[in-house]
Amino acid sequence: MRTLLALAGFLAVQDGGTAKILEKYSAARPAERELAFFRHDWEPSYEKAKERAAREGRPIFLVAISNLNGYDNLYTGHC
Amino acid sequence: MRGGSLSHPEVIEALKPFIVTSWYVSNADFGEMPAELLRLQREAGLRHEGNIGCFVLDEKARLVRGFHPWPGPTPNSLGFDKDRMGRHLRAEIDKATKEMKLPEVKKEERPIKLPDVERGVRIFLKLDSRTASFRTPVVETVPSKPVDAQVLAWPREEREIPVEKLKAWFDPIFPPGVMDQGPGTYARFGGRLTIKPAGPRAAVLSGDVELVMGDRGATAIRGRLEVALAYEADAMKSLRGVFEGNYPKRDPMRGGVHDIRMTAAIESRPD
Repeated sequence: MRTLLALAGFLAVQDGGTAKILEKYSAARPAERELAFFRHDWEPSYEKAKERAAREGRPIFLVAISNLNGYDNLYTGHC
Repeated sequence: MRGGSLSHPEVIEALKPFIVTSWYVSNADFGEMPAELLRLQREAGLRHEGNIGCFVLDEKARLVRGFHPWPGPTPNSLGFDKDRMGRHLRAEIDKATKEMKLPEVKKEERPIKLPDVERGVRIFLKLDSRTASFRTPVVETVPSKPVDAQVLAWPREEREIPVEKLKAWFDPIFPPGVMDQGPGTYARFGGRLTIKPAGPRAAVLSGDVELVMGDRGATAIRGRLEVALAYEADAMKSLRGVFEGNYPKRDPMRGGVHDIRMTAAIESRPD
């Protein structure tokens, strides 16, 4: 976060249009409350989740989307 | 489900001991479901009319319980109410974990861990729509390729960058909740982008862009990309930017088209 602010400060000082772009970027980047879904301990690949579960002795919560007509990536949100 | 029940605080708490994962239809496996998932569906007694199944598995990936996330084939059965959907899912998880010995978890909230990439960009896509599946942010990552350094090299003076050269950024900026689209949705990229100096170690990349889908109607998303870039010597060090555009969504039921505003925040990784 500190690096992000430092970079934002650096670019704002340069200006030439960069300050306004950084404002728009900040407004467009989702707030933490919108990203609560990523508080889960995600393992995007089911195969890797099984390996981790065995290694860490932990259960798995699997969401399977069987809409076979289209692309549905629950993890990234393109679903 | 992503922005509703799976983001509900009670569900987040209940799933703390779990590794959470998903299986979905990728471009490679349209029309096919792995035998293992079919077996889980069958063992759990899930019907086919609901196309989302939740499975609680033990550490050896053996089925404990499977269920649909709503008491019916669609979230409509709970009026698309996030709180009701969350409480329903929590109750279903609790039924599954009643007899399980779960590992102990820390009391404090787990920090947000976003999709990430060793070197590249991360994109947050939001659509301004009444439909919840459009509003929940999409988070995609794009790994850098060696050619990117050349494309985004320090501009001693203003120069043009063909939109196609940034295809990897635009590919994931397609609307969610549109079932017949996936990575590689865009058949053609139009518009004009330029990069120009904006100070001793900064530059601005901007321009109007047209992203044309490969569907029968050649649906085109038109918008503007604006990116601020920071440099060390001639090498791009970091960037922050935004794409703002319009998605002309066709209404197959009532006919006509209505524009949905799309916004994507773009940031380089690592910071």
